Amino acid sequence: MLGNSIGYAATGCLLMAMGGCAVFKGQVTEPPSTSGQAATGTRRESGSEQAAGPAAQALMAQAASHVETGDYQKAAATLERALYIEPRNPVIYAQLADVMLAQGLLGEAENLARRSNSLARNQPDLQAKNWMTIARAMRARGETASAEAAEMRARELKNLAGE
Amino acid sequence: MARKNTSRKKKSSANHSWLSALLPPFVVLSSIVVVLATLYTVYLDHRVRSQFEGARWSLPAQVYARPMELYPGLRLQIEVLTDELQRLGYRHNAEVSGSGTYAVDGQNVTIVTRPFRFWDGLQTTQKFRIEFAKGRIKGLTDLETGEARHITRLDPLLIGSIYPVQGEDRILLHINGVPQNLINGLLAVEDKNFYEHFGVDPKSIMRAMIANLQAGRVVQGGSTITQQLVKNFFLTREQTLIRKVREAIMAVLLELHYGKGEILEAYLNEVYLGQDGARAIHGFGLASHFYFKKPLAELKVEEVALLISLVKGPSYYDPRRSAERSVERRNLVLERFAANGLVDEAELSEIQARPLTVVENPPQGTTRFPAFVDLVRRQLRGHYREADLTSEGLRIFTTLDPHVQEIAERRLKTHLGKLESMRGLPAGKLEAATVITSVDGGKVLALVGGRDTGYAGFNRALDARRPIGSLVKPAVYLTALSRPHRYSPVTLLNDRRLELIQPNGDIWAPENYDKRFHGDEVPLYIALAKSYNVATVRLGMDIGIPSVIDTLGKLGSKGKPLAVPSLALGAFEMAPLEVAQIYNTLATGGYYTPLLSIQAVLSRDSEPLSRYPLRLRQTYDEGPVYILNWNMRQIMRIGTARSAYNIISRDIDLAGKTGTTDDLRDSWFAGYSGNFLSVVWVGRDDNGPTKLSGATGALQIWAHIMNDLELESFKPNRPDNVVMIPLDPDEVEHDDEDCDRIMYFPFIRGTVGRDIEPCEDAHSHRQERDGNWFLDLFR
Repeated sequence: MLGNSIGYAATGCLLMAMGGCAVFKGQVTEPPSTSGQAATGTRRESGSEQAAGPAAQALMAQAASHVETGDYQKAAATLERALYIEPRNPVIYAQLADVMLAQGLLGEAENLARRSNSLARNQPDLQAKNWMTIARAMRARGETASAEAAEMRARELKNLAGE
Repeated sequence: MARKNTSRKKKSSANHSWLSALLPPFVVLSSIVVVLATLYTVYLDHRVRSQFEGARWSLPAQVYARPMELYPGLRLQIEVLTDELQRLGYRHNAEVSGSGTYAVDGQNVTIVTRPFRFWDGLQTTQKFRIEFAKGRIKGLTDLETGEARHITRLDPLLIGSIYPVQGEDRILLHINGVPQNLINGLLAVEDKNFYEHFGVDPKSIMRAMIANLQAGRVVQGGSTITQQLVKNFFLTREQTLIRKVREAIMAVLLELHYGKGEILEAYLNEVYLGQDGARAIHGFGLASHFYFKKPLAELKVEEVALLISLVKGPSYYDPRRSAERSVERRNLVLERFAANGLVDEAELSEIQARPLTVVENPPQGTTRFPAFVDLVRRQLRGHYREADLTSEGLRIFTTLDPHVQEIAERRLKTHLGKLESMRGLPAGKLEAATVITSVDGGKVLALVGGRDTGYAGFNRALDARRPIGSLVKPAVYLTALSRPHRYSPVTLLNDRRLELIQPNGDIWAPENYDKRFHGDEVPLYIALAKSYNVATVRLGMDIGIPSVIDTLGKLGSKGKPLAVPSLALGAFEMAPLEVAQIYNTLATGGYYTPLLSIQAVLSRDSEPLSRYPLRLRQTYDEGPVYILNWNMRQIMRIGTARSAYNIISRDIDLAGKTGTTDDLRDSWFAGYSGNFLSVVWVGRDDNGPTKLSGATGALQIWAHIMNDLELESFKPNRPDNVVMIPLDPDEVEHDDEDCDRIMYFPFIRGTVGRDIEPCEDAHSHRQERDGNWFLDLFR
């Protein structure tokens, strides 16, 4: 019993020294709930299975081509149409954030990037990109320290993605 | 010799002097007349031109609902699709033919859409087939190419016009867009020589005069189209001779300034063709909609003939008032068609035998949903002048979902009646309002301002400011939960009797709905789920009422209520739309998204003028909002709103809050699924007691509305800083952990109190521990 405790303590010390939360991250599954049966009709929003359905994808592709021709308003309108179909898809929000960036609307871009992050699950590539968008907006506002912190988070996530 | 000449001279000069005496005054008089006539003509010229130009521009703004998007995977009942097609006036045939038709074959629907200029460009006619299976669209095939399509959309429903001041209305026609048989038929019947005369047609006048003299009464008119146009500008009852002369002059003047095409186009848009209560029906475009519920391009030849037949007398020949007379006149017009080669002689009698196809109930104004259009107008007002809105022919694309709107209207009306009879209230006493929005994106999908939905009266959804009662409690508890080291779902609150001395010396002793007190160890989540007033007042005072007001502001409230303890019980007013805004921020997990009713505004020629883009901003930490939302799900499962699950399937996770005010004057419910948010208010305009609580009144209507929609469970992502700890809900207020039952409670990571002993999760051997476990070892 004591041996176990010391073992735990040692591991805990080490991990905490490395930045704490890491030990609690990762495999957190939704515990079984006693308050009702599993709900039907929900799209599971976990991890990388969050590919957009074909309808949303078609619209995202349309939006991308609008961006190429410089028609940012149409691109944004098309992406909002995609959001009507998949309102909680973080990839669409991130793409919309890009359009805002292209238009120089940095505040809007940041908000959408943050929203994208809040909806993302186990998508470090996407989250890294969003943090870079957020960093850009912060730099433009002269918030250098925050921007650097955001860029660091982006790098960490990119490393995570690389693993 | 001179004498002879003089006498002759005298005679002729006597003649000349008579004339020359008359001449000067005659000349003067005629000069005056000429000058006056010229001035008058100039005046008439100015008048008729300004009318003409004015008519061209005084077009109301056209307001469209959101288009129905169709794609494989969409949850859609086949009836919902056909309902929308019916609303749009698409014709249901055995087989599809031209644009605006559809056919149903078992689980397949084939549609040929109308071309439409959306805010993101022109969509040409689409021909496609949809396969349904198990309540979803399974397949979407483009019938022109034979290929599968990923997505398409129908043209949007025209839901309203924002009128110019005179109360007139138009559906603008361009001369190029008008069916040729309408033009040819119209001219054949009304003005054969249109292209040849100069505004007035003397031959036609002569012919008419002769015919009238022969008949002994007026049987024919000799007016040209141009003259009729002028008459329509200054529509008056009496047609005196002076008027007719004036009209003739102005007709000639018009022709001097404008070409035949322009005049004809103006006529097609101006001609008076019917009356709908206070609303005048001008122009063939609107008349086609008013009589047949379809656009001009889709009319059959006998329907075109009917519209033309109305020109002579829209009331006299009204097909809804005197069908026989109408058919007679229509068939006369069809004869003229035949005489001018517009209809085959051989087919004439067959066509004449066709029955009237006029729609019985004229579409309810062109503003079908006046309460929603009212919101649109208000949201535009900041950006456009009222004059521009009503005179520039803008095209406004909104967020309204006609299917959702009709459900809301129907359920509201039905259940208000039921509630009245159940509570013994006189019929018609209760009023209600509802706002339905999407959760993400903040789009207003439906808005009902009162039980009389066709009438643009007092818009309760926007203007009925009522005390919100317990609807404020989520803001109180959210504020507490945002201080996670002090408050968690299992923090024990004091619901013992409370007396507060007010500044004026009076004592305020708030009571619970059940008139009982529940002790001093009520878990926070229970206090919210069961809406205990006393515990909430104490909580509000502990955390500070100003911080609750601050939370309300972050959720999107614009009000400035007084910072008094009764604020914790919602003793301040809000309109339903504002309530919807606050709850929307909760539903998105703390992302404030201003509720919008407009997507985009285009000019009359479909040039983009403004887009109303998605704007969102995180105004509250996700962690506390997640915990609050968990609590709001408990309100539905075990709390004051549990009767909702008598109507809605228990498989669907919902979140919401009941609201009841003093003496049961206001019955509120605000709640959401994963995709829809709805606020319902029930009350009386005279502010009398309704005998309804939030649960027995508004909640019932809410549940029936939501149950008719394709609901998705409310299952927000758990933020990284929230952990779920298994506890025994029956033992939360005590220390012994039997763990007979296990329920997972959300906590902000790192704040699980030392006094909390998580249960062993019976289903898994791994216990989820919080960061404090390390410290626990050293207790």
